[in-house]
Amino acid sequence: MLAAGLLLLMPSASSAADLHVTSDTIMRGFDRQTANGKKLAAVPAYEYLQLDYGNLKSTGLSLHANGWGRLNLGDNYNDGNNTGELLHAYLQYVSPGRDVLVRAGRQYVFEGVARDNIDGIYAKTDLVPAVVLSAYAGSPVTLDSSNGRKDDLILGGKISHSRPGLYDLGASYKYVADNGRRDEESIGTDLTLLFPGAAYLLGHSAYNLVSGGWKEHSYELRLPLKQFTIQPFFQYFSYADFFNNRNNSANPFRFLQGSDNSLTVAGTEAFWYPSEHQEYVLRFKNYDYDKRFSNSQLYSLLAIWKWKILSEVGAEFGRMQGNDAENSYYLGRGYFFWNISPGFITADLMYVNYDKAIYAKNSSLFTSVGGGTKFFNDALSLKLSFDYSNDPYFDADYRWMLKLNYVLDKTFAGAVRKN
Amino acid sequence: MKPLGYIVLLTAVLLLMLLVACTARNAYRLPATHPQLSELGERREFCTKCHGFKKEPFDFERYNHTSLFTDSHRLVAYQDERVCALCHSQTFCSDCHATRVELKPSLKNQTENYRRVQHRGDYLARHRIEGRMDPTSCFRCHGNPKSSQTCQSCHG
Repeated sequence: MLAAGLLLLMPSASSAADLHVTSDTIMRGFDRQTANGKKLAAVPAYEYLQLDYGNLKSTGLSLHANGWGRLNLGDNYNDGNNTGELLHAYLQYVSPGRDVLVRAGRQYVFEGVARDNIDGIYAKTDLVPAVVLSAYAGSPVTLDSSNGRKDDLILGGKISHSRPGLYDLGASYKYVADNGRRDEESIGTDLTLLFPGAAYLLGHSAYNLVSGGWKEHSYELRLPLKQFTIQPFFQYFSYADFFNNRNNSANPFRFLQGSDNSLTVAGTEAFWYPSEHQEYVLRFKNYDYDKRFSNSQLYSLLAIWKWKILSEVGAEFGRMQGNDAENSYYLGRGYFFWNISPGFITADLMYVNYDKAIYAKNSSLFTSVGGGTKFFNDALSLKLSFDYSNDPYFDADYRWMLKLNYVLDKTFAGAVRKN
Repeated sequence: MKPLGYIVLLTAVLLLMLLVACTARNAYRLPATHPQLSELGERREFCTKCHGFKKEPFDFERYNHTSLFTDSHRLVAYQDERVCALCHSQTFCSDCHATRVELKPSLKNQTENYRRVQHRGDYLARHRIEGRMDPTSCFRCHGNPKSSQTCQSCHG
């Protein structure tokens, strides 16, 4: 109510108000096989709607909302004929000096150890030069299915300090309670360290205050060298501290919390850019476990050629060398996207060969072809795709998808904005 | 290190930050928004194509969208989500990070195959292998009661 009231005041309180509406209507068609072997034709229709109104390109007040819904036009697919979710709906204020930001309502908070959807309030400021402070409090949306929302609480914040050309350093805190019970409490650090030669180090560590152990250490070095960039990385996860078995967790992660295992991932990514239009990537990862499984390796090679914006051809080859045949596979993929404005055509082919059969099948094949075009000065776009799958879960499965995207972009008391 | 020691160390670091900040000059402030993709012509994805490799007043190089950026963007996103918000609304992030969506991102954007989003193709079969290799990567998006609804039919 407060948000709506403030919003009504906005056009009169500012010289212009922007309205941005995006509608994605998606219809899919595929066969669904029930437990008794009977085939049913599923035709779910989805609507994703985004609305932004207010001072979208400048400071001031604005309203932002996004949600989706599904209606089954075929059989009763996925438990229930219709469903949906309000993903976010919040009012935002940005001060004239862009040094204070406040949001109220349902929103996502990405602040260090927090990557949460909350119903509450969030504020961020850099009033003090080089120091950014943020804080949030509210009810965690993820816990609304866990014994209701009474006494559910999430709160936390982050402080960070920057020295341009030298470092960014942040420290964050998060507390989550479900029905008054402490479910999660974490602190963490984020770091960027810049070195001579344009090299830098990125890192994140998180500590679980409930279990009393380090959840994670993730660090990545970036070493640019002319046409090459080498990015060695190191990650460590303690399952007992990273996962939890409380109400804000889910299966199968609750089981992993008690496994007392730990995972160390180390490797490197190497990028080569021989020209503006070519990109070659080599990736190597080594997985090392404290208890369950022995070492495993992932190798990937990617080659991408772009001949103009949004037009590219790509190929990928990968090998997961697991500790045994059950965890090993080869992967190959090729695709192209050709932008022929106002239209486009696209194709994708992926083949995976498993060292050990899954449900008596040794491989997966996925193909997809699609195309689309735009109308009404790009305000309306239509995309159509056909897929074929033959894999351990789908036996010669055909699917289609139609997507209609509509964008309304309008400035009140001013010129119409370009889409 | 014990939690109490960690908190004491953190407090000391914060106080030092404030002390340094009080003597600092005005900091660089990000603009409200970034020009839209359609206004950038050929210069998409790599921030350095326009901003160069200068580290001051802001280092944009770390936000270059390489072909593996989807896999590794979290470390730069943790630094300051306001940089992401210059181009991406929360709606964009919701395709993967939402508390509950039925369509996996590669399916919702099926024809946009140049976006290297997770779970393309046969991932239902492959997830049993990659989930065993590194379950932490699953947990970030599927680790809470709402976002795990797509897992519950098999995993309970």
